[in-house]
Amino acid sequence: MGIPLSAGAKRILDKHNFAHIATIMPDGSPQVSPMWVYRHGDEVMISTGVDRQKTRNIKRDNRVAISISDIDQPFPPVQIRGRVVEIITGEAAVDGFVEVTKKYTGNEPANRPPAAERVVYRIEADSVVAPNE
Amino acid sequence: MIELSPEHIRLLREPNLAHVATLMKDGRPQTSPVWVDFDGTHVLINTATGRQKPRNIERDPRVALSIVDREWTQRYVEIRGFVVEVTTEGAFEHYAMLARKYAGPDAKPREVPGESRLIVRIEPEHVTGMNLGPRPA
Repeated sequence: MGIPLSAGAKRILDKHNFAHIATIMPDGSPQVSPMWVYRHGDEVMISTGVDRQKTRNIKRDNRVAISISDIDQPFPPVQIRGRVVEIITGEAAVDGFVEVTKKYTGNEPANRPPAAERVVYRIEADSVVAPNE
Repeated sequence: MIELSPEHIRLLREPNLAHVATLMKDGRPQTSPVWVDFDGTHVLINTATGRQKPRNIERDPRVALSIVDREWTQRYVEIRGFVVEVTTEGAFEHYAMLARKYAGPDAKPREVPGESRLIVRIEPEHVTGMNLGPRPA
């Protein structure tokens, strides 16, 4: 069971900010990359391609960290540590791609990608640091 | 040691935030945004004593950074590498320089009593990203 996201974390997650998500490589070293992000309640959702190093890393070790700086006020940032509790596949993953594309571009994606190509990470937070508001 | 391309270096030298990942004691990742710089060989970040990041780096020097181009957000670079040096020498001046780079020429670096600034020097081992050719006009 994760912990709730604070108001400051939700506000910054809901804007057009990049989430930088860190995972663990096979040799135990960190990897971090910028991603679009959206939110369902207290869960952080990340839509990506199925064949990514990050997905392979998460399947082996589901512990992740996320940092997000608000474009208008980068500090203090949101810092979340948590776990990927589900890798969503199939049409539900394509729905996630559509949802995050609309969030960031304001438009539906031009094409609905094949279900076999998309995944969504569903992330529960274990620790949340965010601006106090 | 790998060679960074002119466009990688440009992303490091322009005032783009880097998000740096380190390893917690139990092997979990930790990540936070930092000001970043390039000295011609190494990627430099500036932190301070007493923070989680230097504690993590002391235990395990493996780090990763991701940087989005603020002018063209479809472009980003990801760097993985390891810390070759952590030093207080010149670290406050470096912090002041970064404050001017990111916050403008009149920016004053914040002095926190009891805290020493640290330069963390990172050797890149692996670089990837997207749209790393020259930026369109």
